[in-house]
Amino acid sequence: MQGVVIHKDGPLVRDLPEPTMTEGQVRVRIHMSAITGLDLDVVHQRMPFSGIPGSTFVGTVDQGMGPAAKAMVGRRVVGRGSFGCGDCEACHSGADYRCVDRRRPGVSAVSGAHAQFIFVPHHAVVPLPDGISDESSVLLPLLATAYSAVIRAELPDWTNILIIGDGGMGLLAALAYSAAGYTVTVRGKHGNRFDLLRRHNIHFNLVTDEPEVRGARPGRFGPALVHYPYVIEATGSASGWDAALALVSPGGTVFLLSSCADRVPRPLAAVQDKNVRVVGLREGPIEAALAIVGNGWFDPADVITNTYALEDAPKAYKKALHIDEWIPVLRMP
Amino acid sequence: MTIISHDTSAVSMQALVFDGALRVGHLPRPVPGPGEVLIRVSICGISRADLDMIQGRRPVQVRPIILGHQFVGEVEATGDPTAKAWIGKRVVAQPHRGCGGCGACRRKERWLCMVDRGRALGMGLIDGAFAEWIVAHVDSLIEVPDSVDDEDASFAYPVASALAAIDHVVGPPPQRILVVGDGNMGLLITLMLHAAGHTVSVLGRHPSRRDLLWRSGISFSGVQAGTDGDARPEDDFARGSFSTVFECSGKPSGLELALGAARPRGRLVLVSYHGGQPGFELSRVVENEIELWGVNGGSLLAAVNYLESRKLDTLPLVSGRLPLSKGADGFQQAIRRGTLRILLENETAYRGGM
Repeated sequence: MQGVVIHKDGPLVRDLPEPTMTEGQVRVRIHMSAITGLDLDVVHQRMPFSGIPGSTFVGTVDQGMGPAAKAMVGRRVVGRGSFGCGDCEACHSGADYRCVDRRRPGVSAVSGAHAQFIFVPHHAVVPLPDGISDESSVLLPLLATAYSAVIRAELPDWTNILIIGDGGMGLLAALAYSAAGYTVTVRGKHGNRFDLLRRHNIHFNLVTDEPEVRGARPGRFGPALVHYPYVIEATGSASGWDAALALVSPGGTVFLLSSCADRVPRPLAAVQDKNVRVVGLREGPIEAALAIVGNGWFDPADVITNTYALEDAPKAYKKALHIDEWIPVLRMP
Repeated sequence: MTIISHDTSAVSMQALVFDGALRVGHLPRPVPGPGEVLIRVSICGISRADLDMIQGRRPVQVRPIILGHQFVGEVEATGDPTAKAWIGKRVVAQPHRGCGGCGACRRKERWLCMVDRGRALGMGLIDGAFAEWIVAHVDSLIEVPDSVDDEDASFAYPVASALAAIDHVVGPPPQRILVVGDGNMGLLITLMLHAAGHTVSVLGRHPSRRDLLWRSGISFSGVQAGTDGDARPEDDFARGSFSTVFECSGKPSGLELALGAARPRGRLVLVSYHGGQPGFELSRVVENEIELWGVNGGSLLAAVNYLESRKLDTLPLVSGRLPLSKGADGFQQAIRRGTLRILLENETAYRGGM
């Protein structure tokens, strides 16, 4: 099968041997896979993972081993961003998000989806309803993560949510929370997001030099003028963390969506001074993402900017770094 | 600043003054202004913040200054006729004055005020309670019932923080909880969690804590090889099996252990202050979807009520009581590794309580 390998000189598309299937696994013929920020971290070797990259996929199950896996053959499915080992107390109790041995396709332990096929346990995929296109479903795992703040905290109705970062993750989060009825403001650096956000009644703060964030450092310029009870950090950079803590209200909540592969320690003083809660978001239920797309307020495919063929993956990775790209996707042959 | 008084009738008082070094001196007794009361200090405990200030890890804006904010005393006089009812009452005081107008101040949670963080008794801008007398604002006072003695009442401030921290435990006891750090705060939280019925493990540096905790049936583990703990950290703590972890060591290595010990979607409560330290990699929090809670003080009223319920025995947490005149020695002791709480007593004060 064709797939991406990470060579020391960069990513290459190669003919790879298919792995042998094990009990409980399905083989998914991939239709489409996104190129996310996390995938780029893997491709550029900022993560300790050397298998096939690709953390999201939509495809059709064409083989299964074991009764549960066989029953899924022929179903169109979307992959979960991460899944448990399937064999511990947490997994058996249906709370596999507590499994300490989680696997993430294309990120850790399991080969990813920038290939023609992926081999995963049957509990790593979720069947899709007929009414939703491949383009709209390939980002469901990202959307589920972005939207998982609702299951990690009790967000009051209509509350103000600030999203820092207008990359793919930030935009998906903004669309999801506005669809759920919250008052959403995006703080970003790219003016070309404006039309999409305005269409969905999302406020947009265009920041170039971030003076108000600088001014918010206690002791130097006095406190920030506007605070938000809920802030979602989706930039993954040091400035995003500082801005999140400057702009969150005392006693408020900061949700972290970034993969933050740069391994730079971030200071904690403001978390303590302001009595802030910080919640890491890594995965949410696909079902919740399907429900929020189902209300018709937005189409996650609006965030997809370009489609590339699998053999053009190396070129797509380069282009994905450009600021005009939100989330590009790979379409498999 | 109240050290210099223009009141010629001022009576002098003994105080432990910090001006780069600590020394005992005599200063004019402060005079309460409108809205203020004069409190005769009975006991003031030495806190981590005090040590941070004298060792330069936390800024001191005004020098010379009197430190100390974890005190109990008796109201002797007031500069405000409407506050006369306070005279003769034993009180503790919320050190943070706050701006009075923000959400936190209006909720009467002045310790969370972000607008005015400077004005706080004994925190480097306003004189504190390592002295015979202190002036405090009448709004900040909380009456101490007779059943709570001075020593217990001097714990009100750390107990308030501990209660705010413990509030973050989800679910009914017993929960499996880890406390990282066996200093003052670590032990206080451990004993309070234990009293609430939780299953607590402590990860610390001082093998001598083992006996203290053993008597309450709490397991202690040493972080270094050869400290003779019940378990080695790599055996039990690195696996992410605790639903809630309290970081009470204030050290980057403790934070690292705490992050590793919380289970996926577990809670990590930051009790000890990590300002001025490198902090942590965000990916550690995202990877395991940790919920991190910062704690910055708590309600003194809740703390006094808790102390009144007699769920906590403070005796094992006190390493020594020294008279105010030996304050500098007290600080020397408090700095030494493994020392628990040091209390400075005002030897001239009336001993209140039981």
